[in-house]
Amino acid sequence: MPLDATLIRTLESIVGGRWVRKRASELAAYDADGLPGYHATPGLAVFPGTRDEVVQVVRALAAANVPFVPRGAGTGLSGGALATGTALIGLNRLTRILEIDAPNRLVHVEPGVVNAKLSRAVAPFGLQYAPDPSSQTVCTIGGNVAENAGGPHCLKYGVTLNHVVALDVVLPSGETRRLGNPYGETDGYDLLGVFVGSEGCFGIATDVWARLVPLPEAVRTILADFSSIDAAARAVSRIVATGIVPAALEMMDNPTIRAVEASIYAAGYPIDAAAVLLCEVDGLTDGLADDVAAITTCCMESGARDVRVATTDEERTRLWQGRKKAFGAMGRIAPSLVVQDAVVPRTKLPEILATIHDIGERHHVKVCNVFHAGDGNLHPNIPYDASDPDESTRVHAAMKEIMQACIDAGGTITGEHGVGLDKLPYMSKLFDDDSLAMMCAVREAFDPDRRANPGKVVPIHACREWHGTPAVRAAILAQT
Amino acid sequence: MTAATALSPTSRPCDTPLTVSDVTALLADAHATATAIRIVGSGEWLDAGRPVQATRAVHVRGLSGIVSYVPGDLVITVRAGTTLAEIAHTTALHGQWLSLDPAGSDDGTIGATIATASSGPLALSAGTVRDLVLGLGLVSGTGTPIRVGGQVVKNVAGFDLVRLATGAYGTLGVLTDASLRLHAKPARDHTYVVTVPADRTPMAAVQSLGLRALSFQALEILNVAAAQRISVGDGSQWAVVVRITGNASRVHAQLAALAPLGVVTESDAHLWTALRYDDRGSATLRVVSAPSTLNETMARVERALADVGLSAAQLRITPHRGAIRIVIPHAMGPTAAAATSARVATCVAALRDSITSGSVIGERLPNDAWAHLPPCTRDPVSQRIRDAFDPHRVLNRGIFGEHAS
Repeated sequence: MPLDATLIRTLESIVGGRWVRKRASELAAYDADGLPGYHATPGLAVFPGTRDEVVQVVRALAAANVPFVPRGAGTGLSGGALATGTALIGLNRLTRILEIDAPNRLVHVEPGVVNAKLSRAVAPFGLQYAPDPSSQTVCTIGGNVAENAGGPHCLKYGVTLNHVVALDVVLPSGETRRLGNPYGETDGYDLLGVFVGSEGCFGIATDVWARLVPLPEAVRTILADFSSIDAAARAVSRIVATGIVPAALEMMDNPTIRAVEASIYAAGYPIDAAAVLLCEVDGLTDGLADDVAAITTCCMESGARDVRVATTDEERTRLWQGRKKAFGAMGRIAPSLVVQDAVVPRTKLPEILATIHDIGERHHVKVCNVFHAGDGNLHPNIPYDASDPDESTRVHAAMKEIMQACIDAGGTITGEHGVGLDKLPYMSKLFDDDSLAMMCAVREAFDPDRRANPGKVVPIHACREWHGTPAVRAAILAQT
Repeated sequence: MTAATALSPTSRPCDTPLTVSDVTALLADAHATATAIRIVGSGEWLDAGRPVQATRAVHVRGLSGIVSYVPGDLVITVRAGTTLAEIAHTTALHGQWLSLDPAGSDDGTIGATIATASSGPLALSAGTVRDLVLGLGLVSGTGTPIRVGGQVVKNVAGFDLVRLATGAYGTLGVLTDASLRLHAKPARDHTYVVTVPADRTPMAAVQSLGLRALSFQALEILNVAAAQRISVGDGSQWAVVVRITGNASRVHAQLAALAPLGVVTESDAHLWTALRYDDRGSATLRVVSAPSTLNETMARVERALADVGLSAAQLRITPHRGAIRIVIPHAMGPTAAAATSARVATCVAALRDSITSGSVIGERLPNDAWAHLPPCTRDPVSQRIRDAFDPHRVLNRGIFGEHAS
């Protein structure tokens, strides 16, 4: 969609000429978000440098009736940050940590602050920002808010939503408002709660206030090695039933272990294991050894071959690096990787893992499972060659069956990556038309023209009585 | 403010749906006839929120029972009229609990707890209602059944209407069922009390515990009146009540951390139950501000109460959330009640003016007092949300003050 020259001049006058990118060669950098199979080129990309510039940019786009897509680091794995011919608003210049309020365990940041950088900045105060997506070394807090990001340590500490206490947002109309209250409670509807995880469809957060939690006094990381996936899944259930809430409880299957061990991220996982559990407990030093002993017993009684406790920080870091870089390690197997993010009730883990295995065999594709077992949040990944049409067809057929199996097991289609474009087809399998229509209606409460991230999250057919502008309709049709 | 229609569940046409279809039919009719309705759970908290204008009551208590419970998933799905007691009983059989202890009693329904987003001392460790509700079934103000969220502990599929309906005081729909996150009961669960003379309030001592106190399951500070209310202390003492859970070593270590507060006495867990119960007819509200400004906020609260002769109010402080819950007992006799109402209203107005960076949240207040708290859903986004769920405003009309003049 060609964007109007007047609009471009207006945007340039707001942010400066160098922060409006419009040449195809420049825009190519923003044509993907980490998930292969989805590519889209924005009509232009604009990079405001201050909160006021964000507001002015959004107002200019509103005046010109142009749809826009907000983007953080572009590490989402759902196609959510892609813009087809419309304006893309990059927020990664807004990188200031505005205030660390240690006595109140609160931080005020701009949306472009990188997740890991925030935790590093607050560590000297004995605090941490708990949500830790695997992309934390590059992903931004604004993106985390948009996606309601999780991470391995969410099992104990909760997801982004449990930590964000207030947002200043600019609505797609250009109107600004405060959602939540950094130092109090809010009466009325939980607009903050529904904004977090709205995938850029409700507007842009320009300021984020997030709760910090104390750094634990002590941490113990346990690696348990199993000769069957079933046994590992049983151990998960036993551990959870003890009442101990591990900080993280992650599982990796044999194809993942082999991929990691063959890569530069080799963590010393036993390559002949059917599965390993990476379990971490943290908190007060007192009592932690008892928790480790109880978890060790759970693993051994479930059939673990071996249980090892990291004795040094280096060893712990190495064990975690293997887990957090597992997706990257799969790059050695094949040039493309399709990543899924389904959740099933914890007790269904053995059954669903067996089903996923069967589906992979049937379609002759290699499924690598690396996931948040404590939450039942699966990440079945299939490395493949996207340039091979036959293999691509088989991979996507297998993924569809895996998603359906997770829905049939009483689960959901995404635990932390978001719906974006990738999971749109599954939304109507999960929700009935009336429930989807209500989601559309809530979106319209924030964005009556549906110009913010159009065509994402809720399938268009579910939205009734819609009177979108021609520009928005064109943007959506270009994607579907 | 428009005067509330007096609503007595027994003297008005009363509807007691037993199924989701009943609720759907009833609300479709209310929508068609623009009949304002009052949603009632077990009726314990009917005086919560601003006055409701309604001509018909819908009693959802009959919509009760466990829909599904797989202990290994630590998730239970119950109908909205199920009481907290029923949930506690069922989950205890499997060594689990729903870690919610809102004001009131276990006779309250889960639907009302979610609708009012009520939490208690356990929120320190287990989070608030909003952190524990995974999915909801509700029937909107047009009589349309809607399902939001799911039955798994992590879920970002679609917009989070669960958060929106939680704390909406029924104005977006009548809740019909809820899926809830449970926790395994900890190996040990101890309650300790430290009493402190009234001239030496324990605020500073508790603050000196620092981050270590965040590992407690719950910690509340009670002023003399609140302590006396649950028979703690000798009538001249403040109290710090602490709940400590975990394995034996952890309990021992946390208990040792309490020593700087004073003499620590072990108490019975029933203390927490007593703490939840407010005398019938009490006015209750919360003042929340930054934890670091708690002492100043406390001084403002005490001054606002003293200025109108309500120094006998019970105060329960959650220091780590910067929250002070104020309970003003009901005065006996109509003249005294009217006088108390006027004083509560003056006190609320004073708090609203003096708490500038925090918030004053009313729970149960006399009508005059509500007039001093601004309506909270008048912004365009909230209004459009209400339009989508309840275009004719038939559900708990007025409870957010949106119709006040």
